[in-house]
Formats: sequence, structure tokens, C-alpha cells
Amino acid sequence: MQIYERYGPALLRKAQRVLRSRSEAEDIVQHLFLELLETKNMNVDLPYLYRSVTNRCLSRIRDEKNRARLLAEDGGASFESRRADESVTMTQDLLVKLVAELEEDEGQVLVLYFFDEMSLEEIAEMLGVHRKTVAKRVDSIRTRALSMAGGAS
Amino acid sequence: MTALRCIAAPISFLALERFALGELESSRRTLVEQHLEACAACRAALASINDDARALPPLVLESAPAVAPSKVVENTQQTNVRSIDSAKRGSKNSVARWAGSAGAVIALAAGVFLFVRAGSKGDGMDRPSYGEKGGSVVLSIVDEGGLETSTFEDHQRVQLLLTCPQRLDNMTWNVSVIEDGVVSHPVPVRTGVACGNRLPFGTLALSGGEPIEICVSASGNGSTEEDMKASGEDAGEWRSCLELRPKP
Repeated sequence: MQIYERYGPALLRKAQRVLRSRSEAEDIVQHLFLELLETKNMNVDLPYLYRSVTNRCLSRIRDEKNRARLLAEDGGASFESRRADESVTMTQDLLVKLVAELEEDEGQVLVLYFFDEMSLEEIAEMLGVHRKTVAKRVDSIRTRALSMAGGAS
Repeated sequence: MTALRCIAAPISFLALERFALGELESSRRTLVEQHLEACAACRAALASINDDARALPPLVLESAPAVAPSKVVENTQQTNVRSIDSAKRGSKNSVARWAGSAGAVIALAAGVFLFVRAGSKGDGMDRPSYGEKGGSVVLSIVDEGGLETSTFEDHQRVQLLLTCPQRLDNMTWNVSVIEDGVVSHPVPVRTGVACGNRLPFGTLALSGGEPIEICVSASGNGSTEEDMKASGEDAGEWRSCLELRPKP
């Protein structure tokens, strides 16, 4: 399955970046490609698959059992942002708490912006929304994140 | 260690992945190249992509039609009778050639997959012993119709059903395919095959016109059969094999 060999590693890295678990990442990517196989939907590109993996990561985090495990195992682990001006340090604790509160479309922005480090324009294009909408969501997420992080300390 | 920060807006991981794959259009590619020249943080991110040598696990199908346990039990008891002898014969070669995961992915094209399931006391899945004292490790091959089979057609999709006593749930299992005296291992030992109907599943290639022997053997917690022998464990006690013949 050429598409799996071509895009599988990139998707594993993405899922592991969010979930911090190789086995969870493998599970998500496996299920994604199995569904593609079942639906015979092989005409997909990496951005499409990235978005699919984003949604699956979010679903996994929202699952109560996984949420507890993520918090217990690696809650303090932080994602090292490359953004020089980013004020939020995204930890697993913070990710899990944010995802529990955010709407689905906000959750997508959270992952795409803070973990995949996509630009507002890239996210807007991927989600089919206006750049300003993405910017508002990022600001909203950042405000909540800083509030949560402040409350936790 | 302090993380590297980008000089400006970082190149997203998606763009870096596509850059590494050669998928970016030329104008975008040029911009990325220019950015990378000046940005150590993004160069490091790209290097982490290019240096990621972890093997892609075999893609396995778990969405196969469910098999009613009772049906499998009946059929297994009829045909899975050559476990120990053939297993020991197969095991002489089975440590020699572990295949990489790429082979397993390629094997998927043949449309054959494994399905692993644990049995437990009281679930109606207990079998006559095939080597493991006081319990049973039973291998059976089930076709897409849910029936056990001992024959195969070229590129036929089948499930491999492994039934284990509950206390072996944490054991990992290696899968060997012996065809014309050649042993291959389509499921990487690193990945292993576990009892309990959990991932990872494995993928097997069953094709050609010669009989094929499929064996599963216990490998312990990620250790190989050689490791087990070195530590005094007898991996041979937890093993089961089946022979599949091409349909005439």
C-alpha cells in the first residue's frame, strides 16, 4: 500500500507529537488507513490525512479513559514550540484540559497551531475558514491556556 | 536543554514533511529553502524528520468479519492437530530470518491478514493442550466466511486466530511462515503478536502454489526465541503451527 508507506511515517510523527505515545500514534494511523482501505479512498494527500489524524487525536484525548492515562503518565511533558513569541507552553496536562473544554473546531485549531505549528493561513486553508476566524480561535485558546496554566501553578 | 526558537514564523511540520517528500511546488519550496538557510530551529525540525529511522509497523486489518468463537472452537479441534511436531521442525529455522516491517506492508497487497484473539477460562475457548502445560495455545486459519480452512487460493484473505490461556495474555507471539523450506517472518518481532485481540495485528502473504506452514511461537515480553533459550525458558512449549495447502 504505497500511500501508507509514503505518508505513514509523517502521520505517526504527527500523532506522537500530540499524544506523546508511539503506540497510540500507531493505533490511530492504523485505523485511519484501514478505513481508507475499506472505503477504497486512496486518492488523498498529506494535508487531508493530517486533518484526519488531528480529529482522531482529539477523539482519543476526549475519551475519558485515555484522558486519565495521558494525565497520569506524561502530564507535565511539554511541547517545545519554535515560535519565538509564543507565550503558551503546551503541556500534556494543558492539552487534555483544553480539549475537554473546547469545541471541536477549536480543538482542531489547537492541534494545528500549537503542535503542528501551522500558520494562520495554512490552518484557514485546511479548515476552509477565514484567516481572521482562525486568528480569533488561536487568541481564545491562548487566553484559556494561560488562564489554566496560571491557575494550576 | 533550551529549545531552538525560529527566527520568524516557523515552517509548519506539515510543510516540512511535504518538503522532505518533494511534494511542495517550486515557489513554496524555494521559500522553505531560504528559510531553512537562516533558521536553525526549522533545520533541526527537518533533520528530526529525515533522521527518523523508526520502522513503519505493518498495516494490519482488524475490520475483518467477526468470527463466532463457538464456530472456531469446533473447527479448530478438527484440524489443528499437528502443532508440536511441525512447530519444532519450523522453529529450527524460525530465528534466522526476521523480516522487516516493510515486507509486511508489502505483504498486505496479497490481501491476507492476521486476527489474534485470546481465550480465557470460562469463555468456552479452552482447547486441548498443544504443548503449553495445563492450558492451550491454538492456531487456526479462518476464511472471510468465518470458516476454518486448511487450503488457500492465491491472494486469498484469511484471518489467523490465536487462542491462549488468560495467563499468557502478556506474552508476545512471533509468526513464521515456512514455504518450500524457506522461513519468513512477516510480522516484525519488535511488533509481536499478542493474545487478547489487541493491536498489533500482523500481516501475512499467502500466495503461490506450494503448501505453506504458519507457526506462532511465544517470544516473551519483546524477547526473541533466542533470548528465551538463553534465559532457560523453553519457547517451544508455547507454539502452534498449521499447514495450508493451495486449493487444487
